Amino acid sequence: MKTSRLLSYEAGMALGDTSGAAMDETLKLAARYVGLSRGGAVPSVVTLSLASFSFAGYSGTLAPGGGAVFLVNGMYRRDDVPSSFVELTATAKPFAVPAFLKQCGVREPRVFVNLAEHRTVVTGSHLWEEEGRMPMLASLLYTFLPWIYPDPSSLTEQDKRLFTYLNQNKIDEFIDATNELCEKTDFNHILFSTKLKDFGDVQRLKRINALEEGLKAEYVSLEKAEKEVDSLLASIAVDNLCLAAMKNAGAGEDSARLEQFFKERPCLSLGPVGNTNFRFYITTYLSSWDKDVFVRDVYNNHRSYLYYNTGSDYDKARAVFNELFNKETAKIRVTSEFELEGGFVSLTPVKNIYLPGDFSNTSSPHPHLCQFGCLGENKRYITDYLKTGDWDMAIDQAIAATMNIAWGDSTVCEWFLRHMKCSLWNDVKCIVMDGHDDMTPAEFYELIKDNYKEEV
Amino acid sequence: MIKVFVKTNTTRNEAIAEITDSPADVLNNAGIGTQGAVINLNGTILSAVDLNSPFETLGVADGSTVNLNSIVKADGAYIG
Repeated sequence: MKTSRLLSYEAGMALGDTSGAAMDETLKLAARYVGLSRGGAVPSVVTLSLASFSFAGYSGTLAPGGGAVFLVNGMYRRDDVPSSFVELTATAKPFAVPAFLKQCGVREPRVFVNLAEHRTVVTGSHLWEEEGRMPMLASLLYTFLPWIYPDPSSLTEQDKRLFTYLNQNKIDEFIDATNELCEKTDFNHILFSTKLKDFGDVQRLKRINALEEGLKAEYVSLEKAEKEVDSLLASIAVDNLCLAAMKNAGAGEDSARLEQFFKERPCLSLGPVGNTNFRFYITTYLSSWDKDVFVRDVYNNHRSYLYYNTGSDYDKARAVFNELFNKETAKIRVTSEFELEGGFVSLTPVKNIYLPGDFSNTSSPHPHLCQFGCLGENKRYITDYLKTGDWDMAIDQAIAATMNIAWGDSTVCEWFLRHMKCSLWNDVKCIVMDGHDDMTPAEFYELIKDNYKEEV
Repeated sequence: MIKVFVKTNTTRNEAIAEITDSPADVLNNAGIGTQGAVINLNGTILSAVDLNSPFETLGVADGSTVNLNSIVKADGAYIG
């Protein structure tokens, strides 16, 4: 016997009005109608089969997706039932269900079947009044559940036996026959496989979501860890650099060498000394630049920063620039400040345009180094020297950097022009010219202005 | 005779020279160019004239050891 048929018997047993009733109440009600109730208990097979048969209640409307069989105790018109339901007429064989119900005292019984949706609606007044009516109705299942019994001749002996017991209201025989059939059917398995299918899918989707969220969190963690690794690698690189510098710097002799080194270079002055570092000043003259760049891109280019500034007599500063960096009739003294870390692991310019003591009266802060802290290409050489322990070459490179000005860097050089006119002009004797005392830019301008005006 | 430690950004040489030799001679012998470099002798930056002057004229005593450093003139700004 097919499982679907067996289930239909259970449905047949459980026909009942389920409107407003909870499932367990529906089961008791159904069992009472077919005479199966033993002190209110319902055979487990009924419970299990109903749970999987989707035998839902009816509460006034035929909701889509509702139960398979609806018994409606009331007078219904055709209009109350969806048009997709076909009414079983009195000619339905082998029993005319409405005629049978009418014989049983049901007033105006009607049966509607929807083959496509596998649903049936039985309506009529006084549908429940006689207890023997339901087993009789159940025995007609193959008539109004035609999707299970398309051809009555396909009924097996077992089917017929069950229908017979139902029709004769032989409760014990029916139960025995049902149990005999049910021995071979694993209702628990059916129940699990039907109910847990969706459950499993829901769980699968939940698991997918959880895994996706978990993966996102893991990627975030990974990204964070990568940043930490990058940071550690950078730190390791710096430490390795320091280690190499300190190893290569040698032990003991550096203090004496450093002292000798500073003595040999009068351009160096010692600044503040700390426990792990010290600062020093480099005072020299700007003597290294690309003259072509100055003449072509700056002085002769009337769109250059030299000509942006039209107020505050910037033309005078421009004239001084021309003398210093084009005609080279004089030099400008500049000072930079560097910090050397203990162990000779780093040498960096100090960004500070306010020079201490005498420097502030006699020297201009170096435009690249003091204002912007920019070593440019010199940085690479200094780093390389420190790696190999050649701190002396590193400091010499810092001196070379102080001698240089890069005219292509308009930001720095415009600042230098403004600084000369606004800060150095009257107060700082930074201009050095053979045969003259040190001069302020203003004094130097007074010296050159006549020639300059003639040139212009 | 003097001992000259010659350092550049890429090489470290030790040379023996006479006090009548010039720093330019030592650099030439070591295959080191002077273009685009700041040359200093014991920290004193050498002009073009100094570079071709004998060590003796530059104040180096016979039998002494001196450092001759060649430093690259690099731009103070990163300009592409």
